[in-house]
Amino acid sequence: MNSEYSVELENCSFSYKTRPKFSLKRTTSINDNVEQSVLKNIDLKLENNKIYGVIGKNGSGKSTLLRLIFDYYQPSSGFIRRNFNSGKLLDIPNTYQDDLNSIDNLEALKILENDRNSPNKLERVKEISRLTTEELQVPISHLSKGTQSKVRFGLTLAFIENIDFLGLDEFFNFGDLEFQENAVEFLKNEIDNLGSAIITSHSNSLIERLCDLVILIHEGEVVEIDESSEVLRKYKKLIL
Amino acid sequence: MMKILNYTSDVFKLANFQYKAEHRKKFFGILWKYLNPVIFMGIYTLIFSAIQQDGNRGFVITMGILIFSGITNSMNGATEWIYNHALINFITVRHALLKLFLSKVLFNFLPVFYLLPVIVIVQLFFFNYDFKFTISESIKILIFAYLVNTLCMIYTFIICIPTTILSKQFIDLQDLIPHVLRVTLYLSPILWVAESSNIYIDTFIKTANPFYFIFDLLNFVIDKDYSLNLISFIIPSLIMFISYYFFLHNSKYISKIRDLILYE
Repeated sequence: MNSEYSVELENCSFSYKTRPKFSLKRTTSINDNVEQSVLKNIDLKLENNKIYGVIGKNGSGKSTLLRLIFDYYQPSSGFIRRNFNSGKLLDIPNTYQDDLNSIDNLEALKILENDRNSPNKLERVKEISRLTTEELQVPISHLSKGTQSKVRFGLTLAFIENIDFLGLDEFFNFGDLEFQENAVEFLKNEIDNLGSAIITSHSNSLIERLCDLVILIHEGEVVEIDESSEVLRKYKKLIL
Repeated sequence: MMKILNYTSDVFKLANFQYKAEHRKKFFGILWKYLNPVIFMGIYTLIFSAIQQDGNRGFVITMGILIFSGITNSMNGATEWIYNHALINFITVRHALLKLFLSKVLFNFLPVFYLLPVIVIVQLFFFNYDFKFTISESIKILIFAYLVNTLCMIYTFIICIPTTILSKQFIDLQDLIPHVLRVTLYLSPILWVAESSNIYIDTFIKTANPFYFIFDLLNFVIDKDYSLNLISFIIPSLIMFISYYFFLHNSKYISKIRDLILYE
């Protein structure tokens, strides 16, 4: 990265028209073809080597902001400059097939991620998920829900090695408290090595522990960017 | 060359994983995948060997129906390919969706590849009433059948891409497509051989059926019917061109799928 910022958004707005889904019995007629404004005049500069948290109510535009940053959406107006070399937005932790065990899933994901030459991926999944080889040999659908979450977390994060800007959209809704603690610790170390990250979550404690700076979004506008304690206090005021 | 080999091996590996997953789900596992084509083969063998001793025609129809079952299974599956929200994690990875979808089509065509030699052996024992294929002729037919099956697999893959996208946009297609394909599958033996005294009706049946070319190609080799009806290739070629131009060219399908998942 040559610039001191990973991403720069200049006066970015985003709106879209709701699409009708055609069926004989139309179920979405009320909202068809309605122009929805999601983000309004966003000016944002995300510094290198920092972890940003994004908080806000449901529907405030958090996910849309991440999708704009990672080029999933084009802004309706304004400009985005992406200075990172390789970014990745992770939505939900995923597997290839839950009826296969984690090792087969890892092999399938290696194919899909074009990452065929990484012999140590299994060790990495073990390290991230904190599961044993025996547990990874059980079909994922036969594992408990909590363990399934750990596997998904491990399988997804095993593929973030070669990127320098990471996005996590509501990624952390799983596992017991101990695992969440370890996951946060792992991720913090990992992002320190990678470069920068932007994370959305409804968990205030997670945001507080993981993020250097927090962005508060309300009704499509950035209300505040500051250290987590300040922004979280403001957020509480806003919602109560 | 290495790239193509790696790519093919990736697609085969993914199809293999799908086989493994399917096998683990059920007591009889992957055998269910073979049951339907085997039943079809059994019924047609019975009809064309014992009841109506028209071995040559029976051989063509049985082989054609077997190949057609690969098409129907793939297209039925394609109506739900993009219901997995986790696809979004691969959307920016080069060729990931292409490999995934190719593997899904291959998964449905693998039983056909395995069962084609069985049909060729069956015909040697049951269908040989009005003709006699030697072993070497049978091997040539098998090789040709593999080529037709590969051609159909490519055709199916190309039409599965619009199928999956349109099924997400027009929800009723998820129900309509399986019904139409089921009816076409059952009617194919009749549609393929039906001949009226009206040339216009015959031409319409051959032209309008996008799968008639399978029968034409098999007839060409098995029945040695060299009056290959090129008109039966018009609609499939048109469908392939439209699908390619509007969905596959410049990887347009990726942005369409991305939008469908994101704007859900």
